[in-house]
Amino acid sequence: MTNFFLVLVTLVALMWATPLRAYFRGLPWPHALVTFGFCYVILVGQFLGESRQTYPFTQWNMYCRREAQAPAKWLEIIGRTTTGETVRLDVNALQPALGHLRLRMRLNDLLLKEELQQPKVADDWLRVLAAWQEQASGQEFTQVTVERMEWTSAEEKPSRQLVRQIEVAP
Amino acid sequence: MTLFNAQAGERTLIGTRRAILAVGFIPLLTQPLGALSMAPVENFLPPGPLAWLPQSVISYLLQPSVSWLLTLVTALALALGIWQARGWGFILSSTLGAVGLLVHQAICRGYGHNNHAELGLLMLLLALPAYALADRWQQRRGKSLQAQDTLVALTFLFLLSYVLVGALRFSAGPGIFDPHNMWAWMVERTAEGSAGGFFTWESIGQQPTYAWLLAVGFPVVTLLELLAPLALVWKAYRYVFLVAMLGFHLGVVLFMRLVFVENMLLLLILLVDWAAIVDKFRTWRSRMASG
Repeated sequence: MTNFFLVLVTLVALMWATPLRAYFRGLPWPHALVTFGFCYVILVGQFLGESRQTYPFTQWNMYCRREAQAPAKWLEIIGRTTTGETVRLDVNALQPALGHLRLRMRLNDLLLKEELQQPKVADDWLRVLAAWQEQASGQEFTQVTVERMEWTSAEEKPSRQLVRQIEVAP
Repeated sequence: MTLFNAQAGERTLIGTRRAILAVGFIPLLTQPLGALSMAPVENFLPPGPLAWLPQSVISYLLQPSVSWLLTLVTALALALGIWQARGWGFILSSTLGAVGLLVHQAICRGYGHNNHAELGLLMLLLALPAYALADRWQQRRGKSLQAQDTLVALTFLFLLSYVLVGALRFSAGPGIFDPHNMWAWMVERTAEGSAGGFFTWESIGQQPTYAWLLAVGFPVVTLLELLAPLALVWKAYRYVFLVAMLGFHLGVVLFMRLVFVENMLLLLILLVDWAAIVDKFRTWRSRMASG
């Protein structure tokens, strides 16, 4: 509700600017129809908050939610090669189409929670990540490990907890 | 206070249309869908209009050959739109280009998080043919065309997305801007990798100064975002907003490897008076030529 009033108050206040008000008043009706049509769907996307359903008109929640004083939490995904070497699997770099944190956020949803969500789906993705890394570097992998990292403050040491380990066929 | 682009002519409108369509090539060419052939199809969650399609059509769309065809057709449509830039040719090709990129990005998002980086661009790509259609309607009614009718509206719609980000962030409460939360956020994002590997989560985490700088700058940037449409009527604000947002987007690239290149280019396209710059350059060149 605060979000709705903040948007409403901002837009109404902006219309106090005479040139902007005069522009909207003088807009020919076909252009006005397009403008208000787009404003409507943009605002519906924002206030409905169901971004997957309303794509491409989604809620603009970019860094808008965080528990107070929550520690930093993230996943480290590490592959072990046939030669025993360990390689960090960079989810964002392996597939640019799934970069921009797209796949990373999905993996966070599956693996970063206290209880493991949909283990089969998580394992499918970990195998695909190993295969993509194999394609990119030519290294063959035997194992993929996921660790949950947690860091409370700069004065303390970060903690590391094993959340998943799977064998992959080289 | 004067309205930005109030005196813009057809040349500016055509240039803006071409530039926005050209930005469409960035996600299309840098996010190849064909490489996703190994992704587990059963984990695909279709977003938006894709969810209305039957599963068989979605499975067909996810095939690598179809993905390549989609990319090719979209690229051709965008190129045709840039070339035509007016009339029915522009309306049809830019509509096809916008729909093609919408499906392309829906496929990228279907496997993961519905991120925001390309959404401002998609919105403008969908709006371009709609406004061109409105122009045709005006012409049929025997009315003269004003470039500002489209240019100001496009800029307003784009800036509206910044208003919505700002409003949502402020409505979340002051905790969002807490220095500890800034610190945790920077550590988490740097763990995903920073541009060129310049920073690591350890180096960022052990330097609370970065988080304090962000804690001071972030509310200011958010306030600038909330009031973004002021850039349309207040010249000084336009410059401040442009510099602050470009700086913010660059900082996000550097620390968090979250690239908002489309938004950066769209800000430059929509908020810089390119016609005046071109005119000044031409005057300078003719002066130089005449000695």
